[in-house]
Amino acid sequence: MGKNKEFDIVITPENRGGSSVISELFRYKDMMLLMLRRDIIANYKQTILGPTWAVIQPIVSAIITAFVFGGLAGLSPSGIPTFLFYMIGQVSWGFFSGSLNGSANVFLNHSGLLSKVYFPRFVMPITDVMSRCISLLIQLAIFAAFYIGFVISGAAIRPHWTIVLLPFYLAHLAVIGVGVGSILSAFTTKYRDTVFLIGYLTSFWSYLSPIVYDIGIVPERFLKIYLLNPVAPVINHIRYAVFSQGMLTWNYYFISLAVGILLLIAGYKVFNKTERTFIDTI
Amino acid sequence: MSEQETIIKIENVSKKYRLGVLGRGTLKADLQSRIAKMRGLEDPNSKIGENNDRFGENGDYIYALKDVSFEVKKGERLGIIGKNGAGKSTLLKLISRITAPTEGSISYNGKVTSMLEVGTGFNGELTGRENIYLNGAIIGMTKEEIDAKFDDIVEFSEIGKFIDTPVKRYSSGMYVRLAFAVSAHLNADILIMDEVLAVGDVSFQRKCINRMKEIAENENKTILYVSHNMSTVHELCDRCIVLEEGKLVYEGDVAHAEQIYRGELSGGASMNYESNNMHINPHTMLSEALFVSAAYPNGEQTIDENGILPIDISWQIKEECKDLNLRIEIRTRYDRALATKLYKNLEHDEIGKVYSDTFYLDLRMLARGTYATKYTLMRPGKYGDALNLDQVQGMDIVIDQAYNEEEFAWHTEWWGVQIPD
Repeated sequence: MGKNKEFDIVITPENRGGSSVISELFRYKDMMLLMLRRDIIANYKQTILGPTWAVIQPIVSAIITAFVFGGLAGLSPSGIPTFLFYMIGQVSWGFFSGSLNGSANVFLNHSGLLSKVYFPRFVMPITDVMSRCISLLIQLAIFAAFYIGFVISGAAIRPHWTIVLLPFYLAHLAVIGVGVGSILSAFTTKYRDTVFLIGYLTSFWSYLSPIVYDIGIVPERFLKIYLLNPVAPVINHIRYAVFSQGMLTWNYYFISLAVGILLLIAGYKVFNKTERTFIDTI
Repeated sequence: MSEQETIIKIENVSKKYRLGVLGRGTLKADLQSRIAKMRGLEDPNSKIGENNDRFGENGDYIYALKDVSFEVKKGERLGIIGKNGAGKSTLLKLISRITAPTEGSISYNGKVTSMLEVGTGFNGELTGRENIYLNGAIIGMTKEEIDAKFDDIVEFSEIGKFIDTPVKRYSSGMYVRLAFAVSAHLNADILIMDEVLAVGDVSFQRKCINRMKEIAENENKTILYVSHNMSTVHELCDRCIVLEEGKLVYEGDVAHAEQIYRGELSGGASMNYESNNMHINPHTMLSEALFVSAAYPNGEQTIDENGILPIDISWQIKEECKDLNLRIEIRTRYDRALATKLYKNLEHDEIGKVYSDTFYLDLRMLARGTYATKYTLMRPGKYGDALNLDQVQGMDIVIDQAYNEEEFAWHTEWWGVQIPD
């Protein structure tokens, strides 16, 4: 658009203008922090237990899964306290599926604001993941407390040196979650059906991942295919880092990392395409 | 302000909405439509009816905006008016980058910010202070910018000591004031306001308008203002565009724009009361005479050099009546009566016959503007009162050059409609 050179911003059907997206996102860092603060305050104001709710939920589900899958179905691994084994699985999976759902429904959940004011739309999934990180941190702290408690009472577990990679592992989960969620966000704006489908998808996915069982129960001949599920090797590595038991599958881990990054790039592209006109179809 | 540079340039902008998607929104319906299309059947989900040039050939989509071009200069306060659905809000959504145009381009310099509708981006659990920061950040201010303006915002909002109370405890008036105060201190070059002043009490509204004027004049900011409230448009804007069914129909001064905008509400050069049944007849017992039609002679409103306007009116006698008078009321656009002219002893002898006559209105004292009228047929009642037999909406009177205007411009908004002799 040579003739429009005298203007800073030129909006055309293909391009909504503006400076490069990363710098624009940076300009809105205050907004992200304030939105994060709002989420935290709004979630827990006028609740008696406050942020404790973030803790109770994974503990309760870890107890239930430990009872159902560990106690009744006998899927618990040897040597590791059942409760801890399931809790770390639940916490990691909760973070992953939360990131996925949050990004997939970002346009629906915030349509009121998004239809009124412009800001780089990717602020929304970023803020969403950030606020999930906060509750993740609380949950991990609780997990650590239980862990220490179990060690003191004589459980034969110790962390592996790869525990230092834990933040990286968790970021890896978020990358996959946001990537897949962003791709799905294109559909949720158009078809409300997708919202329900995503619910089924995530629960189905969780059974394909080593959340409620140990990877050791997967038959050898399926393992090669099984580990292509990008979440499986990451969860597996997280468990290994925490308990030093099981196996490390670095080659599958790196495949998962590559897949995750590709998904994130694809998701970002889809997201940017969707956000241009989603307000017309939502 | 003519020497100012152009800050917004809108070129041939169109925005197309697919009707199908708006109506469907579930995967099932979309699949249904696609299958029907494959079989060559009619789309079971398409909308029926409505057919004009705003719609695509198949009625699949609607142009919310069609080929709109205009420019805005720096420091200008542009009003955007038009009926509901004329495309005003769509235009603002395109400029503020909420959605993308289908065709054309929009170029501008500087930062555009939309003034948010009251409450958008506010959270009831947060305090006034926290909401100021959050809202400011959402509309693109950094924390430092808000810090710098924080005291001004609080002062403008008149919230005072309640600033650290959660806003869910605020009265709705406080809520509105706070929301507006944040927007009014934005750091933007182009400010977009879409019906934001519709709420709030009159004195606060006035304060807001003054603040916006101040911003435009002192800080050389540009304002785009959408409203149905023409008096605020008059007060705030120095120029206006009129949108009609997605097209730009007028660009120019506010008074003329309003006439065009109002012109589509009523008026024209002739009216037929028989066919469109516009009688306002409160007493069904008193239907002794009814209006038939009204028209300006020669098909257009012509005021002669003495300020006299002729109107042809015809009426029909339905029942025997003893006396018949005509009343023509000149009213403001807010339907307040300004003046009335009475014509006595209209012909009324023969039942069933349609009579017509030309009536002359003396408009010498009337200031420039658009006026609504009402015609009433009446007769004296038993107790010295006037009984209305029939009443109809009359044709608008548009005075663009007042007969008796002084050498300076007449400000009807403040000085009234009657020009002194």
